[in-house]
Amino acid sequence: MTGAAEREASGDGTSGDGPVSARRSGDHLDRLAELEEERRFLLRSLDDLEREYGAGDVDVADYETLRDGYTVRAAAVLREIESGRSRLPPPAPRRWGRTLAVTAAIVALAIGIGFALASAFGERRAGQEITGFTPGDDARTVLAAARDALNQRDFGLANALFAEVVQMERERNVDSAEAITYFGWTLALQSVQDPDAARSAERLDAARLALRQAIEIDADYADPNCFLAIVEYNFFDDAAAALPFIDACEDKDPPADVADLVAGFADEIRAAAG
Amino acid sequence: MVAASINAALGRAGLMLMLGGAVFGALAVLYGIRRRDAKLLRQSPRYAWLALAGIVLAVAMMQRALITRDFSLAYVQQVGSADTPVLFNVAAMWSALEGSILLWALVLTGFTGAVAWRFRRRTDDVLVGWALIVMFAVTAFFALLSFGPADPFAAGAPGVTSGPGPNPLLQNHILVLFHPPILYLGYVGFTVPFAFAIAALVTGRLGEGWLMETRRWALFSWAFLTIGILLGGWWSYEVLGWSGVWAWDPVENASLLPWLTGTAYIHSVLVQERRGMLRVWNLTLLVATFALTILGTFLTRSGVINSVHAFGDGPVGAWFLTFFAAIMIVSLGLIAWRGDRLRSPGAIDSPLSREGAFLANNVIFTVFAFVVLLGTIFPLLVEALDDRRTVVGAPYFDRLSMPIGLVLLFLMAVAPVLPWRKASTELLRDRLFWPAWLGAGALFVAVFAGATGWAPLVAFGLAGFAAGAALRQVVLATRRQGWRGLVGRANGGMIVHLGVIMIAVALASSNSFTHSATLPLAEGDVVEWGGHTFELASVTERVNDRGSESVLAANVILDGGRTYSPAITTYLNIGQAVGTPSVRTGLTKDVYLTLEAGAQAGDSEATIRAFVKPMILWLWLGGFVMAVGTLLAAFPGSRRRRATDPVSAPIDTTPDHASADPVEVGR
Repeated sequence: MTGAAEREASGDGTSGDGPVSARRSGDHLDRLAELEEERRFLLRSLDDLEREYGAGDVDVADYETLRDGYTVRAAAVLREIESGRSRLPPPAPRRWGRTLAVTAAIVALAIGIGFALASAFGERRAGQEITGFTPGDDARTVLAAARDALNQRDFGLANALFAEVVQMERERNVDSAEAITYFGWTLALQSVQDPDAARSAERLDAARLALRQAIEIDADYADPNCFLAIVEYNFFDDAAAALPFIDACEDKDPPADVADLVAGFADEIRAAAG
Repeated sequence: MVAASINAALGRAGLMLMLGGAVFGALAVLYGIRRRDAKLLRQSPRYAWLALAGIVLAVAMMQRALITRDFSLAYVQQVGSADTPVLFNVAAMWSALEGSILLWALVLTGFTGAVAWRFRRRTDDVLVGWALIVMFAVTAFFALLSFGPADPFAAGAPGVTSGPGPNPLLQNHILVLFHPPILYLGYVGFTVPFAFAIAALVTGRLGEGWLMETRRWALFSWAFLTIGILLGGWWSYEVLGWSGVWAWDPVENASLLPWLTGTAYIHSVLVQERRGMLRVWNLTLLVATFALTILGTFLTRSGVINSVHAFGDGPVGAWFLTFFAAIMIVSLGLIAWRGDRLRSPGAIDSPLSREGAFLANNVIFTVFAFVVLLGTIFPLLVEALDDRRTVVGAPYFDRLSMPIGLVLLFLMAVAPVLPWRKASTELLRDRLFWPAWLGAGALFVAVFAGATGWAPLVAFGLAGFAAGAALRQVVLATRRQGWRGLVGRANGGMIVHLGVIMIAVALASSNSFTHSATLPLAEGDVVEWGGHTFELASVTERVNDRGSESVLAANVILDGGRTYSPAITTYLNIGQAVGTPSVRTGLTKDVYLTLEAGAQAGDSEATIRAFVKPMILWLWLGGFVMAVGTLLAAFPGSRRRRATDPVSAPIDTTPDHASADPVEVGR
């Protein structure tokens, strides 16, 4: 009796016609794998036998006895494997209600994560890492909030928050070119919305001053050059004054959002400046 | 390649031995499996010993080079210094890329040797054979890294006689000796269950046998990862001087990601063992955990943390990314290939069941891992696609982790009392009665103590609820089984839960109720703030014997008692100054002092920053309780299943059994 036949007779977990119970399913899978390993071994043995017979290492009688033995055992194993495979659990029927619920949950989650991500997303400074803030850097938290307000086009709030960052950094004896730049830029943006002409002019002067100061602090920083070019051209109508700043802006490779912003002005400024 | 010194020559020889052991080990086992050559397979442990001997030799030579200041090596020039104390010279090995890869290789080869030894009598088992092949392959990858882009024994520039030493932050606290090796034990340990998972997929032996073989390996790896992460937080608290333990920086996130998926795995594996479900899910979690350790190493070692464009500058980035891709392709390909076998034989009968709670736990942990992964790689994606240098700030992680943490606390309260398959509302009412009262009590105490804000209050209430459920389990178990009621997976797991709850309470308290102030102090004046008094005794400066460090300290008498000395330590050979906090640790709150810049030795004035941080000690105590709980969980419980027992056995409800095992609900 072959090993497979013995197992069949002894009522092993992989034999029989009924479905495999959950209780036996793990054993069933392992048994199926063992059978497949046995099949590989028997088929390889048949190959080896053929080669040895061809080379004259095995005589005809032994060859036939061995071949028949291997063939019978392989056939029994193959039958058992087929029977085991047919008793694997069938694919679960699709439950549309559950699919819809999962989809809705994923969409809701994605929206929540998206909002959280958008509100904590900001420009990265030199040397800063991609996530988290430098430990103890409370200013960075306020800066993220300021960026968020700017993205929401709440220029008043953004300006106040950038001013707070400037102050926080100064308390640590640091001049933050980024905070000063965006303080100046949000002042300029506020001036557009301000119906009071005198106050608007004051704001524009202060904005210009802040942007020039930012350039002095960090000569390699593109953003204040870009904003100053827009302020000179668009708010003071002075293309000649804007020209060196637009050139400096483009030379310093501004981030994509700022580059998009100045792209609309660059040609106009150059044309107007002659 | 000419060796720079005897250290380099022997070190490289060691690496060669490791590489040879790993490559020939993998090939020999593969050939042995193919040919069913038991004799060849019996040799497999010897290849593991060979690789282990090689890496031990390499590490010994690197340590010798660091301790004897062998500046002929580029790595010693980079991290070594004549001024660094011996103890920190040992730790200097893992303070930069090449040495940390060496440490990784040591731990990995150690695990490979341990697997070979543990299964030495089963070398002819193809499952063990394939697991060893995977481990040898991973070992070979790290050996190749050490030979190629991360060569720790490369010759340095001639004529160099001193170096800067390790980063000052890495020679400022004893924890640097323990935190990285323990973290690596966790990271690397997950290679073992991963290897067996791949072996199960290759051999088709997808029953629960491989889970049984690897559950303790997974548990210990998880425990080491947990302790490593907590030690990292402790180091951050004690050294960095910002009074926090977690800043959501990419290195921290990289360690948290595999912990999250690993935690999901050690819960969901129980469902598979018990009911044969979640087979694909468990394999996926293991693959994810291992892949995330490699992705984390890529993130922290390739230079992309600072800029995606720095990726090409780092020597190992492309290697790790390729390895990560290979892991994903091979693993997911194997899972897809074996898809028909991995179908669950049953379904979850009710969401209100133990397996339902474990599934919910897994969903939450997976969402958490996704949130952290997305936040970590999002700036890289933006920079790669839009050329904008961006940052995802801590508020993103804080906002999302808070509700996730609350849901996990709720699940920790409910899951331990749920039976398998289905729970009735009467049963829940009965079993949750005392835990609910404990939760209400915790809420009352928190309000009475002055806690405000819905999030911390909910956290305290849920923590009490969850602690009640865990204590109920432990009390029931010990009442019936004596001290054995503390051991075993279910009971030890409840001790781990208690540790987690302590940490959750500590985090909720310290995140919500820390307050700080900048206090200008003058000698002779007593400043009152936050219920404490601060008096400046003196401002002193001390240079160490080697003349390498200068410590400027403000000596502050706190509450009229002991003097605390927040300081600024300047490393004179590189001119870098690092703040060194001084902390009074208490059971309910820490007073954490740092010195602000500007003071001079002999000044009669100094400005300090003071933080009052509640419950910080509970973070470290919680970590200790988690470690003890994991040890208890690793011991066999009162009713140990044999590895060959059927896995999806129904609950035995016979009266005899019920009386013999009255704490069934805790399993």
